[in-house]
Amino acid sequence: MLLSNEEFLKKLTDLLQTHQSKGTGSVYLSQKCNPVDEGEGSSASVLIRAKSGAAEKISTVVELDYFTDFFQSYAEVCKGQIVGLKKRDRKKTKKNKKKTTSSGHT
Amino acid sequence: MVYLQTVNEFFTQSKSLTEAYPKTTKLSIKYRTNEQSQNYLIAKAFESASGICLKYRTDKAAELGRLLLIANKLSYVSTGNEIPPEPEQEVVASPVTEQKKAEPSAPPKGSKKKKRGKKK
Repeated sequence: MLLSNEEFLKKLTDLLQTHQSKGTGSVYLSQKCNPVDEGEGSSASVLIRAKSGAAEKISTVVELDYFTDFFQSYAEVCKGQIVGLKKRDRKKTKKNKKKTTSSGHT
Repeated sequence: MVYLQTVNEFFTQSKSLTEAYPKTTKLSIKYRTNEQSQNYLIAKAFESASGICLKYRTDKAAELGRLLLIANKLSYVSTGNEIPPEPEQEVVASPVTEQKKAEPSAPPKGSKKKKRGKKK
């Protein structure tokens, strides 16, 4: 369902909390340029989606002027709710100058 | 499908992809918890017309913030605007109490410095 920006962030928090209580599964966050043309002269916008399982799908459209504010709140929600990733491991401070970057993409 | 090695490499390549195809490039972040209660993230930039797919997988908590910064920057690129020159204070300005990471305040530059590579 299409929500406003504030409702999307609240629903995203609930969705990630539900994911934590389930204990397994995936949460998909995606973004793309908004395909719906909202008429002449309207500013560009981005469609943001979040999905967990088959039932819960939420989306919102972020205008260009609200990119910075929305992504700050979006980052705060994601950093607060996406837990369980590994912490930064303590390594030596010596930098490894030899770095072989083997990048491959189709 | 080959995973990219570093998050900076994923950013540079997905930025080039978004600049080339701004309308049809789609960025996804998948937060996966498997049966052994291991959590990891997979970031993917996919473009359906040419079939280009870039993927990056990580299980570090510190790189979630970087992936969200990449998502913010790519939202500007996909709408045909320049990335605003934001300093790195955005990460420092919102400290999360659960993740106490001591990131050094990098000097304001357009491109991020490459940090230590991961050892597998």
